[in-house]
This record gives sequence, structure tokens and C-alpha cells, in this order.
Amino acid sequence: MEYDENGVSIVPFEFKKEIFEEAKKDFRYEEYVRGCLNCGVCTGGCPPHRFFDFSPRIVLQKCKSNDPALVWEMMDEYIWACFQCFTCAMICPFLNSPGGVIAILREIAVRRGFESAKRVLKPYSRVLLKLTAYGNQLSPDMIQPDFFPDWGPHIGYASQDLPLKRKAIPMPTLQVTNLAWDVAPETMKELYTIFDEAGVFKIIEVVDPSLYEIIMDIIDDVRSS
Amino acid sequence: MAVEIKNRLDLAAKSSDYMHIAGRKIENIHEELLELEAKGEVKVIHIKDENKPLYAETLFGWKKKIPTNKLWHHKSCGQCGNIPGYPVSVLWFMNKLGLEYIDERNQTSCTAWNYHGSGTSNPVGLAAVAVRNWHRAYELGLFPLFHCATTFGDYKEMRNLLVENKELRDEVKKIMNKIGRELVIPEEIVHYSEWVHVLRFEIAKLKKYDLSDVIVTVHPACHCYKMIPEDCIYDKEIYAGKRTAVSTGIALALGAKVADYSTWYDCCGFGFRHILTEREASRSFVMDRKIRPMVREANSDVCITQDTGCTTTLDKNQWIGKAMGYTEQVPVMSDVMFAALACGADVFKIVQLQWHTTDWRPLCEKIGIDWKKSEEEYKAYLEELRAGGKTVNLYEYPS
Amino acid sequence: MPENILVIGGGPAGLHAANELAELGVSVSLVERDAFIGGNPKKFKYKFLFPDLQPAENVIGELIKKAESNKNIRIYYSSEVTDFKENGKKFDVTIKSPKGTETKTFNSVIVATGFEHFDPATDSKYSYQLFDDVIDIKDLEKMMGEGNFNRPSNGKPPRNVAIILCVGSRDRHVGNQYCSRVCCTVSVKQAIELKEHFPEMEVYIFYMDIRTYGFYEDLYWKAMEEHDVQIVKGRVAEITSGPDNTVICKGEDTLLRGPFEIPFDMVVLASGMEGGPQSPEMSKKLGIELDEHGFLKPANITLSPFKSNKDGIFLAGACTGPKAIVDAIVEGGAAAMNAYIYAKKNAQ
Repeated sequence: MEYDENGVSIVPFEFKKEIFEEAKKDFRYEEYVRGCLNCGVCTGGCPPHRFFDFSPRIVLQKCKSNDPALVWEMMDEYIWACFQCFTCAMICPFLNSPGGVIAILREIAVRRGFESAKRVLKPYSRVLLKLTAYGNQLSPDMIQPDFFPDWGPHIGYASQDLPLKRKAIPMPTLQVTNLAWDVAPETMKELYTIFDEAGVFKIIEVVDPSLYEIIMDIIDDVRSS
Repeated sequence: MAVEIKNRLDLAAKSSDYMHIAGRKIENIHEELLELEAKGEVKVIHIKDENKPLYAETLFGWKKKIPTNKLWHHKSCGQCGNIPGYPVSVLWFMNKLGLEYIDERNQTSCTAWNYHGSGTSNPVGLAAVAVRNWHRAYELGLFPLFHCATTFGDYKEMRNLLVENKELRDEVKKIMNKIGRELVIPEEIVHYSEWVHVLRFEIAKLKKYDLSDVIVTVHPACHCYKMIPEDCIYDKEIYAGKRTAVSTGIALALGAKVADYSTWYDCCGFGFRHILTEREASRSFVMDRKIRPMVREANSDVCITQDTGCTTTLDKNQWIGKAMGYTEQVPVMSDVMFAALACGADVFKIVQLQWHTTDWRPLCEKIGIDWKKSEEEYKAYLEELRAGGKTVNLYEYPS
Repeated sequence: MPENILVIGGGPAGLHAANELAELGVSVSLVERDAFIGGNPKKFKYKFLFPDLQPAENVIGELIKKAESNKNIRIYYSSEVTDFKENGKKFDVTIKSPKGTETKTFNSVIVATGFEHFDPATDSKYSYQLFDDVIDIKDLEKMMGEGNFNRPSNGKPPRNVAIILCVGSRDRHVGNQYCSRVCCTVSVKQAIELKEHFPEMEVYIFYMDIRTYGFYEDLYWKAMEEHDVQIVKGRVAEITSGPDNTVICKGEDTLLRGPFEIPFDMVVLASGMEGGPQSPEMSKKLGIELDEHGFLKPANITLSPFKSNKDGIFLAGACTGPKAIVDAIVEGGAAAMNAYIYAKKNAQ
């Protein structure tokens, strides 16, 4: 990688073009990007627009510009500001889906293992682990005071006597602590096959190699059980 | 203040003679799905008479069939992990109403929270997970009921993508072959809040407390009504048919006051990624855009939600607000939990409000619920369990 | 024996066509669905017409007076065409009126069935019918026609008013991709009228593009320069309830403010024009073509915009697409001439 005098990486135009072409090749792209006359409805309704330098109107305009350099400008922080609420998609009078384009661009950023994507996803690794290894995205034992100090002192309630409190929930599927519900190993194995086939494990390997190793160890255990 | 509140209270129950239009040039996915079935391209999980369906009107005036019986619970990670009273309240009502269902271990997450947060999946992965879970309901002869709004939104989207793209169908079929399953698609994608909505008058018959002094504000979930909006319930008698009717419908049916507020359309600030990795954004959003308007404009006693992430985000982020001078607080719970409270479900054993952060006790007191007694009983119950006692379950695995 | 010509629709286009033909000595049958003639301008009590703000009565009243006083015009009020058959080069038409049913043979036919105002109740995002103070262009026109400028919710004068353009137009959600052509001009005109009535009131116009084509441009200069009307580029995204019984318009000012949330006492939706149920009905009954926008389709939109695809049947006014009253009147004249030529040629 080449760098300019400010230490910013110099990305060749050809690479930017390749990224843009990859986005346009996605089978959803044409449905998400139609025409846009800058009416501003999407941005007017966009929740993160009120807190971030992020505007779905700009996302659409940059895509319509056909300028790979403009699309490239969004590939680092910009795409990660979106809340994925799909307000824009619901209210656009021309049926564009800026939120949908963001999803496509994020997929590219993680598939390609961009440094910005890795950085953004670092604190997300616990969810990725639970999800890919066990088929759940969140578990009761993840709600710990040290992870969520800003959620107040009551958050400690969940970490005390957790197994007992979970046992008291009148649904057998919920009487576990390391998973949101007790997923059968056979079910997990089906999920592994899906992730293998769909290339999900490959993505994890690219964005977080050490997490990938941990996940693979767990999967081996489950598969051999 | 009084005048303002009155005006905001009038809106939810406003009715109109409006006509829906299906002007938007969109494909009718339901018809296309049935065509694919006729061609033998896919199998469809139909809503049968034994599912005791009820009908509701959607945004474009299409009739949506909502099955009420013989259901397969597609649970939500965040609810089961963090808000256990949410699914428990659903099961509690199903038992009360004598409806059949299965809740089992053979279900995966929809994986869509992760996808919308991190981008670490793709349409093939998401669609295959969806079909895998749909097929599990299918082989049991049940209809799947989705507890989470993100599951609901994602599965609606996956259904549409599968119906419209043969390549995607073929890829998913290939994967289903490998795990011994088939490509099946439900006739309708149904969210639990829709189930609550169509049964709201039945549920209201079970009411134990007078709620006429309780002011409710509703936070509608983006992934319910903003993703594939044509599949969402609207009702001429609720918000004059201009806003999605679920959750508001049950609150009104229970006799509570529903108040409007200026940021009704705003999301909760969850952001999928932000709730974990950019928490200050979620926090600010919660206080500035939701809780403060709900309290200041509507004098709200309780915020009613219809989704996992919203409930968590809105509940957990109020405490830290105090550090920034945000003194407004309002308890947060889902529509079905609020209904369960109103119908006499135990605060601790069923509605499980003990896991919630924002103080819900004043609400219980306003309704007339003796939460202290409930707490004592719960503590005693925990001691019984600690001593080796057996859980009194709402449901047991089929033997 | 004079020629018999049928005119369907008694709005500006139909009335002008009937009047011109009657002057030529033609025996005109004018079929009108309402109990009165004058079309939408009469029905919704339009007060002033752009661009010169002359009283609508000057135009509509004049057309009505002429039609009602000309012996060559027989007006069928509250009537409809129930049967339509081609008879060689002529047409056998059954007209049902409160007085009974009669079948007549006509030499040619002019369809001038006009438009319907888009009903904003059919688009949930505008909260029309939810908030009393959210009204539309025709509601305001009618209110002002009756001398009423006050808020529907409490009868008090509004302190500020938002006018939202492109409601039901240029919006794929409601199936109307086209521009309705006149709403921008009408809205600017209404803004001026509001300001003339209440000089202290703030008026905002939220636009995606202002399309006051040709000399109609003069109006918005007047609105800005003489009346300080705020013209903001950005379509409104959400309408919600605000403080003190107001209605909040939320959107993005794409050029200046960025995101905005402004409470208004009254919101006016500039509803566009639609072909209405009458266009497909005419298409079916008369066997003439309908276009993809829901209006009647001319044989050649540039060369003969007043001709249908069927010989002897002519089109005039807003039944072929959104247009201003002046254009409807011009087309009424053109269709009259063509219907007359056809009738003359094929009289025997």
C-alpha cells in the first residue's frame, strides 16, 4: 500500500472502480438504486442523520454519479453510521433503498477485510461468536455490569444467581445461561452447513482470524459430539 | 399542558372513512408465491382452518390472514436472553386462550441482527437460515410465529427475494438438500404483535385492572412497519388508518389512553451495531428523540414496544441520561407484557419485570398491582428452586 | 338539418367546446354528471385563477352563462352515458338523466370528462384525516372561496402555514409518476392570498422543484419579494403532532438548514390531478384508449392531442392529462373544430 505525506493510503482509481463494479453486480443493486432528484425525504426521516455526518440522499447521489471515487469515499466510516432502520426505503417517493445499498457496501467491506471494517467490528466479536458457534446472537451471561456500566447498577441483577433466575423462567427452552434459548446440537450443525455453504465462515476468517479460530474449535467440538 | 395532552390523546382512536390504494407499482408477492407453488417450484406453508385464522387489513387494503392456533414459536435472541418476560407473556396468553403451539430447541436465530449490524452474511446465508426454520415448522405441521421484529422484517425480505429470484432459490435448495430439508415458504410472514392485534378483543376480556388512567406511548418497530410496509396491519379505527395499528390496538382495547408524541416515527436508536459498538449514539437517541418527548409531551406512564431491540435500548439507556441532566424516565415493555400485566399475570414469574432497568413499580402502583407481594412470592419460589424444587412451567417439551 | 354533436363533461373544456359548436349552429347535447355545470372549478369553488388572480367567476361564470343561454345546447344534468354504439360513421348514444332515458344519433363526440383531485387520504404519510389542520389544495381553495381563512381545528387564524408540493404527484408510492403541472402555481397563488389576508402570517412552501412554467414564474417572485413567503427546497418526510395543538413538518432543507422540524398551525397539501374513475369508465364505454397514467390517450400526443384513437371521438381538457384551465379551454376550441369538421364530412 502506498501512502501520501499525511500517512493516508493512496488507493488507485482502478481499485475504487473494482469496488463500485462489485456493488453494481449485486443482484439487489438495480432494485435499490433507481432515480433520485434530491428531494431529501429520505434524509429528512433518517434517524442517524441527526447525530452523524450521514445522509441517505448522499448515498443515493454518489451511487448515481457513476464516479467510483465518490462511492469509495463512503466505504470507511460512512457506511457504518447507518442504523439499518429502513426509514429511507419506506418513504422514498421513487422507491430507492439507500439502506439496502448500505447493506451491499458493508458486505463488500467485510468480505474484502477493509481495515475500517475490522476496526468497527472489533467490539462486535462476542455477538459474532455466539451467533456463528451456537445459533444465537445474545445470551443472558453476556449482560455483565463490566460490559454495560452505562446501563446502571441494576444491570448487576442479571449476573447474580443467574442460573437460578433462569431456572425460574417457566419455559424449558429458556432455562439456560450461556444461550438465549437452549439450541439443540443437531440444529447447530445444520446452521454450520448453511454458514459453510453461504461463505459466512470465510467472511469471519477475513475480518477476525483469531475469532475464527475460536469458533472453529467450538464447531469441531459440537460436530464431534 | 392539559389542552396539549388532550389533543394528543384524541389521535390514536381517531377513525376515518379513508380508502387504501395500492397505487405503488409493486408485485403482489403472495400471488407470485402461489404461482410458483402451482409450478412445483416451491412448497408453501398454508394457513389452514385448524390455524383458526383471523383477517386484518394491511397498508394497501390487502387482507392478511393471521393464524391464531397451532403455531410454532420462532423465538427472539434478545427477548430470550434479556427480556424473558416477553416470550413468557406470549405463551401465558396462548395457554389462557387454549391455543396449541410448540416451543422447542430445534430453532436457530434468524441471524439478521448480526447481518444488519456487521454485514457478515449475505442473502444466500440469510435466506437459507430463514428457510431452515420455516421448514422446521412445516415438518411439524405448524405455522411459524415470529417473535422478533428484525426476524419479521428480514423474513419478509427473504420471502420476497426468494420469490423473485430463481438463482437464489436454486442456491438455497442446494443447501437445503445438504441438511435434509426443502424449500418451503410460509403463505404469510406473521409477527407475534399481529397475533396479539387480531386477538385483542379476546385478550381484553381477560382484563383484571382498570387502565383508564394509564397514559401509554407506543414506539413502533422500524423492522415491523418500515421493511416491506405493504405487509403491515393498518386499521381505519386506529390513527385514522394512517399509522400501523399493532400495539396501539391492544392498548386501546385494554382501555388505556394512548398519547401521541412528535417523534413517533423515529427509531429507538438501537442501530444494530451502535447498541454495542457506538453506545453514546444509542443513548443520546433514546433520551433526545424518544424518552424525553414521550414524557414531556405525552406525560407517558409507560412506553409500549413491539420488538426486542427497541425494548432493550429504550429501557437500558435511561439511567445514564441522569448524568446529563435528563431526568425523564418511563418504564418500557412490549405490548404483550403490558397486556399480561393488565390481565393479572404475575409481575415477577410471568411478566418478569425484575430484569428491566427503568423503574416500573410506579406503573404497577398506578394500575393497582401489588408488586411487593409478587416479589416476596418470587423470592420464596427462588428458594424452593434452590433447594431442588421443580419449575412450574407454562409448557413442557412433548415427550 | 343541423349536425348533432355530443359533449361529455361540463367543465371548462366541455363548456367552451359546446359554446363554440352552438355558435356554428350545431345542435349540442351536453351530458354532465353533476347537478350543475362548471366542473371542478365550480364544485370546489375556486376563487381566483392564476396568473393574474382574476376572479374564477369571470371565467367559469362566463362559460356557464353562455352555455345555459344558448338554445342550441341541451344540457343533461345529473346524467350519464349508459350505452354507446358506433353506427357507420355516426354514434348511437343512450343518455340517462333524472328525466328518463333517451337514445340519440350523433355525428361526432367530444369527451371532456376532466380530472379528479388526488385524495391525500389514500397516502398514509400525509396524516390527512388524522390531523384536522392538515388540509389540501382544494379544501383551502374552497375555504378561501367562502371567505374562511381559519384553522379547522379551532376556528382561529393560523400563525403559520406550510404548503407541501407534489402530494400525489411524482410519487411512485401512489402510482403517479407524473407532474400535475398546475399545483406549484396554484400553491404560490394560495400563499399570496393567505399573506394578503393575514400579512403577519408566516407561509412556507416545501418543494422538490418549483414548476411554475412560462409567465407563471412571475407569481413566485411576487410571493418572495412582496410577501416574504419562505420557499424551501426539501420534500416533507413526516407529519406529526407538535406543541400547542400544532402539526410538525419534518424533513431536510437540502440547500440551507439541513434537517428541520417546524411546528405549523396549518398544513396545506398540494394534491395533484388524477384521471379519476371517469377516465377508465369512458375508455370502456366508448372503446377509446387509456394511458399508463390513468388518463385518456390521444391518438398522437403532439400532432393531434385532441383526437382519440377512434375516428369521430375527440378529447379536450384534463381528461388527457393534468393541465391549467386556460389549456383546457384552448383544447375545447380545438376539439370543437375537429368534431365539427368530422360531422360535416360524414353528415350523410
